[in-house]
Amino acid sequence: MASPRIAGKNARLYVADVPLYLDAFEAEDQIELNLEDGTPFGADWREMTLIDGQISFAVNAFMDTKRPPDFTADYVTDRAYWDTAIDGSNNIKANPNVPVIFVPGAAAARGDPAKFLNSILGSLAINTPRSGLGKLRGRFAASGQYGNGFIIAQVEQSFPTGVTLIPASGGTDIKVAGTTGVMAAICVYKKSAGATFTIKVQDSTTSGGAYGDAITFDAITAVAAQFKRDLSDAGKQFHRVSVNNAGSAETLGLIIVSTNI
Amino acid sequence: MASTRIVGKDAVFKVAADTGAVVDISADGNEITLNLELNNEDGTGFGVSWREFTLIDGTFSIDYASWYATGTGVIDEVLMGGPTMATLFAKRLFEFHPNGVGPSATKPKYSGSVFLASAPISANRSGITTMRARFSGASQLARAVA
Repeated sequence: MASPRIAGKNARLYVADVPLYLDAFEAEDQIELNLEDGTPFGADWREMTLIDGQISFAVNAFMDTKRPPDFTADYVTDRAYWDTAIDGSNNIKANPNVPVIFVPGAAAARGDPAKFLNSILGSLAINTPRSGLGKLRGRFAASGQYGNGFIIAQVEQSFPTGVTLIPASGGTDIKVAGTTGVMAAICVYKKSAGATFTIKVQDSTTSGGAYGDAITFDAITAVAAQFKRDLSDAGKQFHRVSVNNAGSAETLGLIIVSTNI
Repeated sequence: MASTRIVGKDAVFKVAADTGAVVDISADGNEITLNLELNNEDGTGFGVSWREFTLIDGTFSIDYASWYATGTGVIDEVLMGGPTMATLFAKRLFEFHPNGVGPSATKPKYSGSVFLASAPISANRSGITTMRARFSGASQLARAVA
């Protein structure tokens, strides 16, 4: 008996602070491991040696005129690519790394596997055929370590003043304790007002705690995306999210993914 | 819930025949692709297992597919640099409007300067004669919404 198949239509994809899956129709996460032939004299069969790895990510999307997820603000989706690397004066940004979060599975709920990477736009093709839809073909090159992690928060909800924990009690099992540190990415794709939020990934050796800070994202005042890697805390298999709202209650739509490394 | 899609038939492409003003040649066209390429160089140091890249610069090209047409102000003459080809090698301005003439918040305009890189004309016994032009970027690529 075969395993239940995963339909591609349910995949989710966040490029920087845009939930681009709502406009996209194809994504490919490409892991390439660089092998060099290390075969010496006298051997009949080639022997390869692994040098290192790199990731590229291709996203094909429709060219639309409103910003997801609400589709109310004017926003042509070529910006989801263009804005990652090019500023308002059409100059190339100095260090244009942005997180890409890819959830290939079916549910995209807390605890589900997710891939994430810190990446630079490599190419964008804007295609407008006379007899078809305008389409965007983008390719990103990951810079640095690949994240094979889990969703630890995926919510659209109102956050009151003060700290809200996700989940409210316990944590999300990351499956492995890790030995080096913690890596995480956040995409706040919806924000209803202007309060300042401090969002942390906290970790513990047991689901029940005690939890300590593993990663503190930069203060969030608007829609934003960040990628963080912290080597000061390791060996704790359970993660939770702390959302501290310094202002009045407001609604956030966010996804946070993390892994132990 | 989906957004309103941009249909390709609304695209507009303008390019200059010479160093002067752009000419709208969309009426003969049937497909445009603007290719933005960002050149990332491997800057990985010793001691790391995953490659790290640094963005160096950018370039762009345009592929324009069209029906072949001759005459003043239409595609053959515009792309060939006028009736005497006097400006074939000129750096030209272009404008690409993927969602109709803008610029506005939903009608971005891409513009800059290009050189014509190739322009094959293809005549098929059983079809319409076509032309494919490829332009190479020769300036900053600008995106405008206002």
